[in-house]
Amino acid sequence: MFAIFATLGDFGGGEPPAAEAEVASLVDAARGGDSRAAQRLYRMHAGRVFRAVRAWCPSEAEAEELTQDVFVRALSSLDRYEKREGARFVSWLLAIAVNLARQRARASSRTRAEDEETLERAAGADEAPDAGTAIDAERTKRALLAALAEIPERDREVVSLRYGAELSAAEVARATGLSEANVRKVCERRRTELAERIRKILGDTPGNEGRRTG
Amino acid sequence: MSAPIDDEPELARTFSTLEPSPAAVVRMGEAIEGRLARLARPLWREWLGLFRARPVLSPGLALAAMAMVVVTTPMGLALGLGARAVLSVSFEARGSSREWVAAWGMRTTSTSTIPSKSPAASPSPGCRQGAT
Repeated sequence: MFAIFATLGDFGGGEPPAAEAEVASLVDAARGGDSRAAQRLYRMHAGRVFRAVRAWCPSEAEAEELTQDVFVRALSSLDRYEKREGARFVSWLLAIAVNLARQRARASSRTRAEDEETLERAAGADEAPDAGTAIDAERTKRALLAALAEIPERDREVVSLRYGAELSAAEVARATGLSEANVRKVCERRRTELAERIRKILGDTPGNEGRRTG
Repeated sequence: MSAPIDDEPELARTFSTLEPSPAAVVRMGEAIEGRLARLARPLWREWLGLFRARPVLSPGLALAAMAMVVVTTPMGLALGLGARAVLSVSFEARGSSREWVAAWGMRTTSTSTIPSKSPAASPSPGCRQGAT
């Protein structure tokens, strides 16, 4: 079955989330050996998975590697996936991501020094005073990553699953093994803290807090 | 310039900056398909998958699938070679086929000393006309 994937090089391109019924039919088709269905499943969920795991990895390359691991694991073990009431396919994917990320973290040699280096890079990233949209986004991204690096690993998991992968509190709870109430508490606490940290990194003044851009 | 990000939608928008680039999505996709293609499933896992199938609705289909796996894999070749080896050993024990036929013929010839009642009777194999 997996040899068929090699003949159809159509992986790529992000797509918006589709209805869960469509996902279920794609999962059934992929389970039966339909490589196009597997490719579509990848394209539909690649962005979400990457946004979540990026916060857990020190670099883009490692995040890409982890994302690949997630999909290889998921697509090669679709027979183990069981559709549950109220649980989406993406939450199963992210549960795999959480487990793989924890395994990597245990084996990783990431140190606190690397986190500080990330913070310094974020602070020094704004060279152009008149930043375009892309540079703004890059600055915000670096500030977010730097802010996330300073919160504990478990809270970082919760926040990135909730806001990066856009999972519900119940789904985050299932993926991380925490209670739903605990997930909500973590999100409540870290949301404001992250906001403050990001503002500090981006160098916002108190007078700019109310200003919104389009 | 920057929007407040302490409410959930804004924080979600901030996380959207972590979206992978289109090139990264393509790159990851190609790597994934390569890894899946190289994923080798040992034969024992194929057998195990057959037995773990839930539910096994048709034992006949399961047996046919197992036979297919045997025939189309090196196991089939090994079984075929093994069967050939066994058969060749048994033929050697019996002697070659020609010797076997000749031995059978001599045996029938030695037992056919009683003349046949009817001249038109068809002779038994190995029986010579002049033998009677």
